Amino acid sequence: MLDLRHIHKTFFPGTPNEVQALCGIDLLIPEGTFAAIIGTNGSGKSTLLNAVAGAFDLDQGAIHIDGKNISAWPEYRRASLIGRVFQNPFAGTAAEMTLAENLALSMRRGCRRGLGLALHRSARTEIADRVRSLNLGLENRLDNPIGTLSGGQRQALTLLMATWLRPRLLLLDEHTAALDPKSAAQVAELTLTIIRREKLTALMVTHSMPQAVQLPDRIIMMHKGRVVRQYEGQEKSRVRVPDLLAAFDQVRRREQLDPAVAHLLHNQYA
Amino acid sequence: MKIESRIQGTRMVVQVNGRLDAAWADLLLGTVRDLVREGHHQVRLDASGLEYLSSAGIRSLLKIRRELEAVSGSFGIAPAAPFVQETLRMSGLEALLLVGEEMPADAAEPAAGDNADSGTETSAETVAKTGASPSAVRFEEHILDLLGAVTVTAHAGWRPWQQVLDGACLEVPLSRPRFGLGIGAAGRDAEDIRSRLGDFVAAAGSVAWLPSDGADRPDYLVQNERFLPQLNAIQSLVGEGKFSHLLRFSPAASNACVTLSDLYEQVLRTTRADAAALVCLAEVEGLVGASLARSPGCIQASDQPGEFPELREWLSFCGERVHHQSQVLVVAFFCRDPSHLLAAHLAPVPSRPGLLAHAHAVVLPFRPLPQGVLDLDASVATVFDDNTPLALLHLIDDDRPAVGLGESAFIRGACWCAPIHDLTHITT
Repeated sequence: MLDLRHIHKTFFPGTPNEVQALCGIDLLIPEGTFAAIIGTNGSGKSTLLNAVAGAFDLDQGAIHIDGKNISAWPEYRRASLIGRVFQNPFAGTAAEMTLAENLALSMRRGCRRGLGLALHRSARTEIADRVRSLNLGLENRLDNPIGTLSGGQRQALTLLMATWLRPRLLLLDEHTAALDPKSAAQVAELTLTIIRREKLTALMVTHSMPQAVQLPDRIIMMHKGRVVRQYEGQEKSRVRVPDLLAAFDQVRRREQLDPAVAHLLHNQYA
Repeated sequence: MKIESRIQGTRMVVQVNGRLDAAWADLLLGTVRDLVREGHHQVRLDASGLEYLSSAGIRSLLKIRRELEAVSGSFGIAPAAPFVQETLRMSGLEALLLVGEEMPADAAEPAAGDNADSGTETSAETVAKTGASPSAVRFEEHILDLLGAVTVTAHAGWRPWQQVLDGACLEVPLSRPRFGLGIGAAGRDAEDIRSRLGDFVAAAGSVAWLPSDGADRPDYLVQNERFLPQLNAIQSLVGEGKFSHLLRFSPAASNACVTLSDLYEQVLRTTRADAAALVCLAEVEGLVGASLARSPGCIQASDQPGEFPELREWLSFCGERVHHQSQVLVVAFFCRDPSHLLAAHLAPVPSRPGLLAHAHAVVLPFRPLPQGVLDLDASVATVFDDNTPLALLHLIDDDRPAVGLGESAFIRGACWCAPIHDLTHITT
């Protein structure tokens, strides 16, 4: 369970470049919930994910995962609870190392590492089994450098690596945005399969409205560092892409309602 | 394929050269639809230069014919290349689609952008006059019933932005021939609709309202056999009676349009009244308006929904001129006498000092209207038939200097109107 309480973050405070990135975010994502965050550029979606991952210190607020206050934990320590997949398919893997070596690293994430062989026989068997479950035919290429794979294949493996140890929270930062449409659809489907099978709590940032409608249990709409709307339960099940676009439009219109318009409406909305 | 159009007499001739196949059928259909939107209802297809006609092409021709018939227009192919005649003959569609090249112009059926010639109506029940307004919009006035007038029932169980009190809600029947506007919702009782109250508009047995529970899309009820639509409303203006006039309007020059206040003034001139009501079906040039974003039923004693910035939570303003080229059903009540009993339910129209009005509009995908005198019930039924409302607005006249959006305006349409001869207040 992820519990965000009154999160505030301002970058470059007191300078002409001051940006209020997160303005009092309160969110409770129950155990096993898959939530998608949508919003325009600069709305604070990725900043929120980075705040949870520990990429910077908060100005105010607290982050709890499964009841533990991790607000003061450094990023590397949070990695024992959090799995991450980034937008860039080349970011989560080491290109020169083989598939098996990359996966062996993720098997031992958060564990003490010695000088013993990471890739002993039983590990290879487990890696082959898990890679086979992706249905991408990569189990026969375990000794190939991961850099020889396509972006979609690498992102699928990154997803497998991020979820290998069943993290308490999975963060997906536009993880299909850099893929071609077919690969993006495959990785999205794989994401849903893994999250459902492992009953993971997940937070996904996406610009794809169809993905936001189809994949998660809950949609969180952000604008200018605030959560402006959430869709869950029955409301989520009936929401369609045009509804989300209309909701964005409504947020934009709301901003245009300045004091002069308010005066106009006050006089004419009889 | 090459498509060219030209006016020939009272008809619009569309000349097609090349292949009319699946790749081009939609383009032809779209081209003809644009012509119909502009008011050209008598269309001939010059197929003498056609080199190939597939079943997809034939289907588009049949679709064009059906859509023109729906607006009392006509469609035919003349002249046609021999192979086109042969193809249609073999398909059994010769009689439907081919017309003789020397077919006389249909003088009784004015066509295509032909309003300039449509000066008179010969029907015993109607008298038509034409005249260009200052805004280059041509009005045709048709008298429906010289004694036509409407009685208005006004109910103000709620005044912005007070709390909705128990008993403020009233069941408002909105079956034919009633028309009206207000704030309400469909539901079992006042408690059931408290969190969904939204702006509504009703005419000819069709009722649309915008629930304010976050659905963001209008819902609607249509009268059918024994089903009579009604809403629970906290505020309503409902008219009942006979319309005295039908105004048809269309642009006399390119880009001309009629503003809502132009329409009010024209109706008041036509009906020679100080207070009138209208129901209008029109193609939209642009709408300016607002709608409830949260239900007034949710107002708490500590809320100040009428004040900025809290107003943002309760009202949604369009922010720009919206729904260009969509179809709209507008219901409006208006007067130019501030002492009129109706004035208490209206708001000033800033761009026309002295005029007071209240107008709601439901927006639907565009469907062309037949020309001439129309029946309101049939026209509204056609517009709602298999057509989902897109939006619903309380129309606003935005006269802010420099940045104002202006007022709502229409390109062409039909406006049924009547003077208001009586007003009843209902208190709850």
